[in-house]
Amino acid sequence: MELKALKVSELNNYIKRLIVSDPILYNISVEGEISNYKNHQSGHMYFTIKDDKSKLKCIMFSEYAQLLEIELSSGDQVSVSGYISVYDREGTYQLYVKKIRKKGIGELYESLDKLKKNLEAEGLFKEQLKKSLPFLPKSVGVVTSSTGAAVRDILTTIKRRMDSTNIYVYEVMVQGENASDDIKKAIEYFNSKKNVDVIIVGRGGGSIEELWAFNKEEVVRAIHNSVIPVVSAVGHETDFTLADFVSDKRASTPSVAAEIVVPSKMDMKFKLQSLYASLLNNHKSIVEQKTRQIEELFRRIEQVNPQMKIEESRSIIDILLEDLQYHIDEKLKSEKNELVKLGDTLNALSPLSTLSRGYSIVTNKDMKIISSVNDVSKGEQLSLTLRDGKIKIKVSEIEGKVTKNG
Amino acid sequence: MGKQNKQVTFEESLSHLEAIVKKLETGNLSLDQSLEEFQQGVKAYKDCNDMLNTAEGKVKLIREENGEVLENLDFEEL
Repeated sequence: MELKALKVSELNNYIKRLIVSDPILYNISVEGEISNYKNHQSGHMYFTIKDDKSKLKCIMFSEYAQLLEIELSSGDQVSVSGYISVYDREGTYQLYVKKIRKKGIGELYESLDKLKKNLEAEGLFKEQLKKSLPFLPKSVGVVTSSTGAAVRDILTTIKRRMDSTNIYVYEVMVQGENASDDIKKAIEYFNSKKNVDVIIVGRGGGSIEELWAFNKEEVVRAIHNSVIPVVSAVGHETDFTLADFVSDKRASTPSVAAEIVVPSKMDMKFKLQSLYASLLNNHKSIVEQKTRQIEELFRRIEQVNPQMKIEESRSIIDILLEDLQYHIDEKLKSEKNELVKLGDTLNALSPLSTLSRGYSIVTNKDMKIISSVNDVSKGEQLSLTLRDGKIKIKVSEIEGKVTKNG
Repeated sequence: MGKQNKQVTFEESLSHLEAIVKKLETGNLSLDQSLEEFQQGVKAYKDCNDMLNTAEGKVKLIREENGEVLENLDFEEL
C-alpha cells in the first residue's frame, strides 16, 4: 500500500504541532556555550549554543532580549530557557529563548541561596547554638593560607595584643577544588587534638568564586560540629559567606578576628591595676571604719570607767581635807585667844603689876634678886627695877646686917 | 591523666577579683571576713598578673602532605 504524499508545509506543520504540545519541550532549560552570536537590528538575537558534540539554534525575540541585563558574546557559558518550536520555512527546529543566565554567578548565588535556606531550616544558624569565646585563650588555631596578608594580619595582631598566646596555623588552600575539604580537615584536626581554645577560619577578601569554599556545605558543617568556638574571618565587610552565618562569631576581616579572639594585654593590665587599687582602698576603708567603731566604743566605755569614780572620790577627799585644815586653823586661833586671855589674867598676878603699884625689885649685878640685907655689901652696885625702868644705886649703909663670927 | 586539677582561667580569676572588690565596697563584712576577702583578692590579682606575664607564645605551622599531617613546623613568615 502506497502512502499518500504530504506537502512539505503540511509535514512541517505536523511536526511543529507535535513538538509544541510536548510538555517537556514547551518549558525547558539548556546549558552550553554561545557561538555565532548575532544581535540583529530588529532587536532579535540569533545564536547557537553548543557542547562538545552538538549544536542548537536559538532565537530570542526583542521583547525578551531588551529585558536582558547581561552582555552576551560568543564563548560565554550560559543557561537558556524557553520552548522548542519549528521554523516551518526552513524546516528547522530551534529554541525560542525567554531567559538567559550566564553560568557561574547566577547559579552560584542560586545554589548558595538554596543551601542557606536548607541549613537555616535545619537550625544550623541559630543564635542559641553560638558558643561564647574564651576570654583569654592560651592557644589559638588559625585555618587559612600560610601565605598572604590574612595570616600575617592575624599573627601580628595577636602578637601585638597578647604576646603570650600560642598560635597554630593549619595551612590550607582557601580557593580551588580542594579548599573546602582542606578547611574541613583542619577544623576537625583541631577538634581531635584539642590543642587550641578558639579557631579562626578565614582568608582575605575576594570575588564570590574565590570565597566559594567558605560557602560549601562540608565547611559549614565542620564549623557547626566544632566543639571549639570558631571565629570566621572571610573577606571584607561586604562579603558574607555561609561560614559567617554558622560560626560562633563573625569578623569582618582577619585582623578584626584576631582582635576579637584575644584581649589586649595593656588593657588587661590597666584593668587589673585599677581593680587592685580599689581592692586596697576598699580594704583600707573597712579597717578605718572598724577603727572608728572601736574608738567610739572606747569613748563610751571611758564614761563608765572606775577611774572616774576614783578621781571623783579623790576630789571629795581634797575638799574634806581642806575643811579639816580650816577647822584646825580655827581651833588654833580660838586657843590662841584663850591663851591671851589667860596671859592677861596671869599678868595681873605677876610681880610686874606689883611694881606698877609702886614697889621695885632689887637685883645685884648678877641679876640675882636681893631679898635680904645679908646679900649685899657696902659699896655694891645694885639695880632697882621699877614699873617703867631701872635705877642704878650704890649701897651706902646697911642696917640690920648679921655679922658673921670672925 | 589522674589528677586533672581544673585550672582556674584568667577570666574566672578576674571576675573573682571584681566580685571581691564589689563585696568589700558594698557588703557589711566583719573585719575577719574583710581580711579573708582581701587576701583572696590579692591572690586573684597575682594569679591574673602571672597569667598575663607568661612567656611569649610559640607560633607553629601544621601542614598536610600526601595524607600525612605534619605538626610543629616552624613558621617563618613572621
